[in-house]
Amino acid sequence: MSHKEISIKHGFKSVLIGGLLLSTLLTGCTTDSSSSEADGGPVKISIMSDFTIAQPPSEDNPVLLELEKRTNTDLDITWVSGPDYIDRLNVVLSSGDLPDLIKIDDVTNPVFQQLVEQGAFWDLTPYVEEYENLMNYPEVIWKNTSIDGKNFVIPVARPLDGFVTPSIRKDWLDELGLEVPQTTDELYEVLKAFKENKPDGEDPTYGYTMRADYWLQSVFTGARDKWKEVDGELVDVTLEPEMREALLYKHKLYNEGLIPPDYAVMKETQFWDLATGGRAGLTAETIEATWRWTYDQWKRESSVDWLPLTALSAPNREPYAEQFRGYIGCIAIPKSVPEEKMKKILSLVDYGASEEGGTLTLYGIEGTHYNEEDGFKVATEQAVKDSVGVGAFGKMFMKFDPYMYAYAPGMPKEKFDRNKQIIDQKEPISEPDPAIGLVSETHLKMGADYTKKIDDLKIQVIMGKQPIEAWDKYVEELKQDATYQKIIEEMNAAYKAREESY
Amino acid sequence: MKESSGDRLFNIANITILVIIGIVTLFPLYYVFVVSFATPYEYVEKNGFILFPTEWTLASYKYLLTTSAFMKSTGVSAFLATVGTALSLVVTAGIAFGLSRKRLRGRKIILMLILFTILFNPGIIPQYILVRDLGLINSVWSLILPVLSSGWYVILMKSFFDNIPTELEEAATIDGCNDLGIFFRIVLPLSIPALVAFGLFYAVAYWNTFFNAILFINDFDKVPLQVVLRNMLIDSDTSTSGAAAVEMVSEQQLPAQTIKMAAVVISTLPILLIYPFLQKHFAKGVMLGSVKG
Repeated sequence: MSHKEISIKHGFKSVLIGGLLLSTLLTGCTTDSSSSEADGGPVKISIMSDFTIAQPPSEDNPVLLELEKRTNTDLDITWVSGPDYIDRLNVVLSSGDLPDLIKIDDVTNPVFQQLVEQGAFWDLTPYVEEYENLMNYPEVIWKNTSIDGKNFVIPVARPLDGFVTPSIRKDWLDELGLEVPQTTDELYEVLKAFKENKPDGEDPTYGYTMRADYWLQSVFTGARDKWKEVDGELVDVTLEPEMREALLYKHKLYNEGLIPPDYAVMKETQFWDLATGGRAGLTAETIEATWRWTYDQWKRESSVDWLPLTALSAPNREPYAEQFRGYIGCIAIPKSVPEEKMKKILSLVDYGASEEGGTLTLYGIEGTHYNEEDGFKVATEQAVKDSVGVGAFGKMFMKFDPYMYAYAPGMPKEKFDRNKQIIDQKEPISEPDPAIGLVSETHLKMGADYTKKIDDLKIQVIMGKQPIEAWDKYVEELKQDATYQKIIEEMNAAYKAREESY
Repeated sequence: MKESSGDRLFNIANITILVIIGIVTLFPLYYVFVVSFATPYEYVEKNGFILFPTEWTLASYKYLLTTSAFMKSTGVSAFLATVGTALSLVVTAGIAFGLSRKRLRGRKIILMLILFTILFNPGIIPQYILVRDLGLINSVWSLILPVLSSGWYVILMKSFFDNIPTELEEAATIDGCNDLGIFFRIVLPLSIPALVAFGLFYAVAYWNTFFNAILFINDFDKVPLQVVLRNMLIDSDTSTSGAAAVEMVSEQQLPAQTIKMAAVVISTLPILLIYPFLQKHFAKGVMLGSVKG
């Protein structure tokens, strides 16, 4: 019987919100722009964004002050910690109490979509074209974040390649005299060899940690998530035979003890404890984060070498590499902001996307936060103290850099060069997700139940608690299920509409 | 009376089971405590299985005590737990005492209204709008005022006060005491056990303030400890939820496991220390008023 805090409700009831939205939008207070702009003083801009490091930049953070100085602005930033951002965002959106610049988790956010429909946000399409740095973002990112063919948001860009990538212990391969696997069958042999030979002498040793194991399914289905484009139509790969193959493959790994038996309930740190403790030879993360997670292990034992794989191919299929959606959320400007100020905000964001601004927000100030060493920006201790990097300012401002995921602090040059090469090899073959940024009403209402059911059944099949026939039966049911089919239709309609309008 | 062999067997079994349960309960605490003194390298080396560190170090604690966010937020949480609890107790006891006196008009209706708040919760957005319009956004009071008093505790306390005889009140009135005097000089001293018990409930709740801070506080140096902790300890499960979950954590930069454990130790210590002292009032306070002797 604890004293009551407001309980967290996952999944907002859009019906309830819809009614509230309008009323609060009309009454919601807007931040009044101060008159100091008129006399050329700094423009006050209030911002709400997320961050994913231990603590966000403080008010007197040197990088923030420098940014304000160079752009002649006075930034009032509300930092909300990453995992909780979505709760706060939905409340703020629903209350109509919007800052001048707001980070949105994705254009598909239902509350945001409603607000856009009601005209609560600037349509930036006619304006952004004047900002060349923003125009440097790949076309596909702009397209994927458009609503009805218009850009109400600016994507916060990320590289398209080098996102979740399986990494393998190259030193183990060398020790056992094995080649880097190119196909799923070779991968199976390698994992088996890892398990049997226990190169680091740990018992038990597994092959693959199963962290972020969705990529393994993608290798079979050719779809990053659920949707694949075939002849201009979106196909739900859940219902395809390839998914069945993927499940059987994983079941085989499970049966032979090549993956941890309790992988389905493991937490982030547990996966990494396996990988860095010499108990698994394959794991998956972005190339950059893999380096950060395994840095201590490498520091202790310099022979340890996690090699990101370029691609993998399933039997009779093209090699598959994942193409990331290329943005990690987007930023929007509410209509309550006057046009002049809106342009000022755009130029601020544009500055963040420039060479100079991108360096400042990502690496900090030269001499204080980083030093140039053979074309390499090496971070200092101060950088960590001042929250420099992708975890804070990088959540709002980003200069597009295709190799961003190739580098992490402390990485020697040869590894960086190797990672760049891997990204270059991925680039021509990586497979985009056609369904990014598309919305299906039915999916918003009912989709979660299906997703949960599908995921649960997959795990049961992999663990052998249910025979593969149970999966077949369920797929047949889904094919007959009117609601499920409606989701597929709606997604296709949204896809076609976007293809035509953009 | 001599113990029969059956008795002895029963006792041995009993003790064994209780000891096992004790170990199972205490081990996680012990583990967290020990790991917080280990070096990160040892943690990696032993795959996190440390029963006794080979090398004791205070590095994790030093790191924490020099991060401004951690120290500031501890201050905020301490403020909430002390000031908030004191205010909550005064308000709760005040309402409860008033409601327990039969001469208060409209008692029934007020009670119904309080009961109503227990049964129906307006939800997050109305609450947010209320706090915003009261001008409390980004103020530490937004974490105290909306949760100042709990309907449950008011009703429990009322039933506790119901047992204080009216004769006491009458005697005090004859001696020239007004209502406030009665409340502060007679009723409150008589209800120390109840105050301690509810005080602890309130204090723990304030100490654990988390979600309201996410909603109402803008500046990170005003957030309570739990928000900072969660930021450090967040550990999502990425195996089954596909691409979206991975995206969430891909740019997370977490401190070493040993630092996390040190943070847990520091944040649970106050509550752990207070508990034994209040233990004896506890059983008494909650039960009082439930049984008429």
